[in-house]
Amino acid sequence: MAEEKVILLIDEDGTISAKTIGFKGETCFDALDELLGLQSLTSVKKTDEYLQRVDTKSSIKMTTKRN
Amino acid sequence: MSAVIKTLTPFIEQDILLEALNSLNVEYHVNNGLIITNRVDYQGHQQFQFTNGKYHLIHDSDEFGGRLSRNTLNNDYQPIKQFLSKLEGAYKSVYQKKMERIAETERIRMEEAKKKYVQATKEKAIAQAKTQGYSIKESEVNGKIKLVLTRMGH
Repeated sequence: MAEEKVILLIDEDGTISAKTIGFKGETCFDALDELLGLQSLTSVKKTDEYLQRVDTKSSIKMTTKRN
Repeated sequence: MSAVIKTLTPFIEQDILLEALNSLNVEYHVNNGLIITNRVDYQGHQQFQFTNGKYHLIHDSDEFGGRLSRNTLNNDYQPIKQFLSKLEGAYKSVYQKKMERIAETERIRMEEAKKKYVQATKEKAIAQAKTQGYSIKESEVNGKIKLVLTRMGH
């Protein structure tokens, strides 16, 4: 079993940046949805790891903005 | 004889007007909405009356005719025009300080609200992470809260 990691950065105004590492395919989105809810998502940047290994493991960076 | 004095700034707020009077060392007492000053002219004590949304200084217009009572002819007494001009300046200054206090109070309130929001966001993320089976490491990086959530994949 591979390690799945989510790194959350919450800045001073409550905006959250999240980076996922080691998730399979697009399960990283599911993981973030479960953790944060994606309604307030403002941007998603797929990392090199996501683009290179989309069939196996994925990694994304996302940012949410305070409502 | 009548006279009309116009000031640039309407004296709208009592607390500001009283503070402005204080700053000019004008003594007063408030009675039934009237601000009765220690400035005395031919008709007695000059007073501020609140009408039509602002305070007006009620005074004896004969001051301009040079028929002031002997009591007012001392070095401390300032003519109405000069007095109101100084009072206007003081009122503006007190008003500005009050606005700054309000702005500062509002800034503090917003900062507190922001801190509470950030704290709540963090607690919610941690609670959700626990239910999803993550282990959590918390640290602070450049004023930001960093949460590293780790679990073994399914």
